[in-house]
Amino acid sequence: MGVKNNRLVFLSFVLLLIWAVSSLILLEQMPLDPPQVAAGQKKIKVLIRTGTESGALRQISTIFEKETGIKVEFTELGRDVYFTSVGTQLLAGTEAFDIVSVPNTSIAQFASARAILPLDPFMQDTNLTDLDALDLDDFLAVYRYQGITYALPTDISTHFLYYRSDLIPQPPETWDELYKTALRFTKSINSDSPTVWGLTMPAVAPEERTKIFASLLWSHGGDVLTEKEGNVQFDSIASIQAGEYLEKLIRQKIVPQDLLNWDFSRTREGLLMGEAAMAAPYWNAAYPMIKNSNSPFKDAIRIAMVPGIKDASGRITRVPFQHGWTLAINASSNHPLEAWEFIKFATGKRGGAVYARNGGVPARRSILGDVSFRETRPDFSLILETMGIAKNEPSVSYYPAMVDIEEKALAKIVTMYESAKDSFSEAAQELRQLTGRMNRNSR
Amino acid sequence: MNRLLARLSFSNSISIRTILLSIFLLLMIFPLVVITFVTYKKEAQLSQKQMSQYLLQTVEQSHRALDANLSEIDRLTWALVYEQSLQFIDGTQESAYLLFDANQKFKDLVYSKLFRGRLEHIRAIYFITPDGNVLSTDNSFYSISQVNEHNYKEVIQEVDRRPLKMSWFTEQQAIYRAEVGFQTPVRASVTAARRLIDSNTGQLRGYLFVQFNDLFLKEYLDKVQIGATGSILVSANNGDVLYQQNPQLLHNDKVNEVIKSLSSESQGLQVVDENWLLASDSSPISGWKMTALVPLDELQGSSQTILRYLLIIAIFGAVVSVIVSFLLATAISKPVIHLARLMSFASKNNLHVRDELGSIREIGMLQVNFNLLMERVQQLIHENEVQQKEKREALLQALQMQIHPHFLYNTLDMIYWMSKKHKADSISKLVTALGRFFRFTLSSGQEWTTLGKEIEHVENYLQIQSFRYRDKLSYDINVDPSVSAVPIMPLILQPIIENAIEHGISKSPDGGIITVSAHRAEDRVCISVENTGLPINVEYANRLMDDPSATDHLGLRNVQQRIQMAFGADYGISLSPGREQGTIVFVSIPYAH
Repeated sequence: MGVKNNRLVFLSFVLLLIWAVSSLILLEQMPLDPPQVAAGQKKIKVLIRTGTESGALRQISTIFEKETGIKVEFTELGRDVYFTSVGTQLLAGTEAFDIVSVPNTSIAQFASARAILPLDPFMQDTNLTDLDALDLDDFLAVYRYQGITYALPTDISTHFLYYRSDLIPQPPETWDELYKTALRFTKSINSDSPTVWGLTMPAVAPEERTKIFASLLWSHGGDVLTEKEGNVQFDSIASIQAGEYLEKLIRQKIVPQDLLNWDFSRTREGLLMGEAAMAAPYWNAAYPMIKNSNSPFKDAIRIAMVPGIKDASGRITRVPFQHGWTLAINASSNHPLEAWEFIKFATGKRGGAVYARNGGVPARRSILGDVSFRETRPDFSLILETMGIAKNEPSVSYYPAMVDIEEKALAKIVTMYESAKDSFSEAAQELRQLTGRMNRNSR
Repeated sequence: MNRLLARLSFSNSISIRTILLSIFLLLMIFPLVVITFVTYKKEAQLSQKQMSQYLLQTVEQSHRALDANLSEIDRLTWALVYEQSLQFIDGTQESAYLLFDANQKFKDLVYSKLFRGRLEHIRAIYFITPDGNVLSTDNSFYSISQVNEHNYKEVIQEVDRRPLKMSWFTEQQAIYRAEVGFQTPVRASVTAARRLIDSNTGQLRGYLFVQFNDLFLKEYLDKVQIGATGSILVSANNGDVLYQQNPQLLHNDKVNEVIKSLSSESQGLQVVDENWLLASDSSPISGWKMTALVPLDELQGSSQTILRYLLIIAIFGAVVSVIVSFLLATAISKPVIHLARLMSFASKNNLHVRDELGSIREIGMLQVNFNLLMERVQQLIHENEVQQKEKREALLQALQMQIHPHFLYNTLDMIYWMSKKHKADSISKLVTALGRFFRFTLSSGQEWTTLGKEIEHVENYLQIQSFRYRDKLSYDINVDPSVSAVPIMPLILQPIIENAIEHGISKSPDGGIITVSAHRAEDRVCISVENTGLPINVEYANRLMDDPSATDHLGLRNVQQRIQMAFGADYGISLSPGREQGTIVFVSIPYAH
């Protein structure tokens, strides 16, 4: 009996020991909220400008994130501050974003400062890129600086003539026809006009004023300067004629007097509210927005190629403006490979199709010519037609300074501060000083 | 009766194992419960206190960081406050181009010089001169007629009230709201405004407005984490919400009321609607209130987890305690219970039992003493049995030695026939009775006889004695025939008769009658021997029955001992005074066949 009792006591101590040890183990297993550590998910940041393209890019990123697991964050800046902010941040070596959306005219400036990465090494690496799938020839334009690709286009933009087909059955084909037509639909001239202004166009700075004027300038045979040599042509007769045409529109009050404050949205609203009979030159991007609006005039508003100049033979020369918004990799990016993955996807054929379905205009011939978009995007065929004759602004590193001078000259015309001749002559003088300084620097 | 009472008293008692089990359980489970409860309560209090402190510190630090941000914006405008000529403002009314040019210079100044590093946070910057000229980075805002007059007046009043300070206003107080041209997730947010004067003349040059987008606050405050599910909110004095992390949390009306009722100078903690812990702090720079809100459930989440684990440990501990208590109680009580059972068993004439020695010293001593006691009792009983046997054998031997039965019978037979020959009937009756008396007496070496034979023997004896006490002794015998076969030891009644004759009849001058009667009373047979002679001291005689040292009434005491040895203490003899005189001796034996 004594041995049995000892066994019971021993068993009791063993049980208590098991309880104590198991309690300690249990407490060790207790899940405590760990300090929150940033998730290891790959993430890239894209700096974009508010506009049609920003909404479409967000749609692309949703699919991209699902397929690659790379998270895409957008930093969206207003149109007023975009260029100043992008230029400042890129040249300051910011790491705040990996990809930046820039127009093709900014590529030279940032490439020359090595603020964006060349894309050729990514494209030539077969582990990273299937060149056949990327199909560079399918792009409407690939923007290079000194023969090196620094950006691929997501969006292509050009100018159309928007007109009220209920008022103007046949769109004017020359600037003179446009002027005459506009006179009829300007209230201050024709009190029976159903519209206030016969014509309108965006003229704010930056972005709009010089680009909008470019279609007028080039079709008159003028130019700001030549891209290769930097020869200033802003005070040429053809350029001054273009300026004088603008001056005539202002003086006749065919266009709004506060044209300097008319931006993309205000111009669109002018058409939709029935204030203006025509808008030209005006961005192709407005077309899907107009068609999706609730305006009673939306069905009457139609598009045509921007007018041109008829020569003695009767041939009409049109030179519409075109430029592309591109994606480039920030040279200070910490995630260049992931950034390239996104650029490849967003500018690729699949990304382009998503972009097109969300109101954008992808810079790919195959998509613009895709019959599946014929119903939903009738503007694509006109874009393709326009792109055949459209022209780019000069790709020079001093583009912002050049535009600044040009904007000021145009403002003098629009505000009737100076004549087109005086204004363009002064501007040409400043441009020559600028190009001279640039040439000296480059030497 | 005593045994019954003893059983009843035992049935009310508590077993030692129950007591030990109760004590062990109490000692083990009570501290377990108390420690678990106290630990949980203290942990919950500590956790809530720490979380509250952390929450308040987070709000303070976040607010300081936000204030530093606001101060930085303020400092960026300092270049306009002192020795900045702002000459481009002059003459703007003279032409549209000069206004445009001034606007371009203004843009260059604010975008390229002052706020270049903060452009991602700026929606637009306006400068409005006292005569209503507007310089704006927003192309859509170019005329004083476009402003919201009510807001503009309020803002100007507030700015003029604090002419040297930068003032902050909510989006609802914006002086101008641009039409939405494009769908964008970026929204307008707060506006900073300050008065600008010519530092040389003190003349008012205009009012500067810097309108920010929502990134301005989001970039700082999105990173502030208030627990896992908490939220932070920044609101203005007028209740306008400037920023909120999780709008869902602010759908609670009580929470909203408390936030609105917070003083602009208050800082502190409070529990709202019993479900929320709210920490708030106010900014001396902007007057904005920063409020952090955490569901109390979240604060108590870790406590609940700890409680769950404590409960699991406590339940497991309770189970272990019950088992351990049972085992320990069994280990201690088992030898005691076993010993008690053995004693109970031994009390039923099972004196051979012995207990095994246990490991508990004190209980071991009990077990040893029990074993020794049992051995001693067995020894005493054995000795007593031997003595009794020896006594009986000695007595029988003595009787046998005293009488030679054959000689005696032959002689008595010869006397009988001589008395018949001489016609002496009395002698022949006496001899016959004497012969029967001796036959019974000499055969009394047998252990048992019947009551009938014993009565017959007594009758012979009385007949003999009646010859001796001719006129003094008469007798009467009344025996219920149903008790004749009851077994009884021989020579039980004769000593009683002898005693009645010697102490009662012989000493009485008139003699007396001896009446012997026997009848059944339930499970007993009652025999009474009554004499009408001289009475004896009954109380004294009864006392002597249980006194082993007494020398009087030895015959009666022997009878008493023999009966009790044979049938137990419940049987025996007792004396009482006779109905008229003399003495009655009652004999009680069990009724059996």
